[in-house]
Amino acid sequence: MRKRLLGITLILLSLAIVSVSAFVYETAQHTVNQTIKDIATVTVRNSALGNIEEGETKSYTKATVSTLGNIINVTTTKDNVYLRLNTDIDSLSTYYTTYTITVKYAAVPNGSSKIVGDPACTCTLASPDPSAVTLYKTGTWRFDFEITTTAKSVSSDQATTVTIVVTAESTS
Amino acid sequence: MSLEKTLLYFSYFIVLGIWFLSLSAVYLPTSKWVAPTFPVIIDTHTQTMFLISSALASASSLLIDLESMGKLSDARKRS
Repeated sequence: MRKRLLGITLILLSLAIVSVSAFVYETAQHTVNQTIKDIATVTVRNSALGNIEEGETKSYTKATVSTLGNIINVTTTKDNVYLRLNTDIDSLSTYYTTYTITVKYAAVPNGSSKIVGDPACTCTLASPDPSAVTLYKTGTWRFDFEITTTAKSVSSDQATTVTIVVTAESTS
Repeated sequence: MSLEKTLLYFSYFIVLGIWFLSLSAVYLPTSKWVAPTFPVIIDTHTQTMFLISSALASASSLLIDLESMGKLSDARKRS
């Protein structure tokens, strides 16, 4: 009985090794050949930013909301990778007169001419999908968010969510 | 346990360990568990080691299975 149990376990283990290996190999092959990759999906809820009164303009930085620091983190293995941000902030025009997300460099690779703290791109209600940020040097790039909002008049407390999809694209 | 069996188990665990390490080396850069890297580059030697260790781990698991069932020694006796 014990021998049979051991036998079945070993056969199952053998099949599991083959299946897991095939899956991982296939996934790795697919990922290596990808020219576009989802880096992150960031969700910003107004509840995480705190209260805002009607007509009030508020700015949030990593100093006030720590999660806005190093919010995007990517390591590039080749030069000239394009980082694209696609947001749905245009859907918030009912609740805000301004909603601006400024993406700033938080860390750049050695030898890069970009300066930490400089804006990389800006997403606004009018322009929710800014042009791509070129990560022209190989290395680790990190970005902070700075958010500025001005609330419109609403009849009751309103929960809002912004979703930012970050993708990286390489030309070849 | 005979020396032959001990060696078989010993080599099986070594191959299984190598398989697990190479699996991690191939899978982790493609997963969301680590900071994203783009484009993902997986060393060809690592890939080859992963494929070889997969085949060896799977085959030695089957061999130990046959050995524990006594089929391997039966086949040896017949030949």
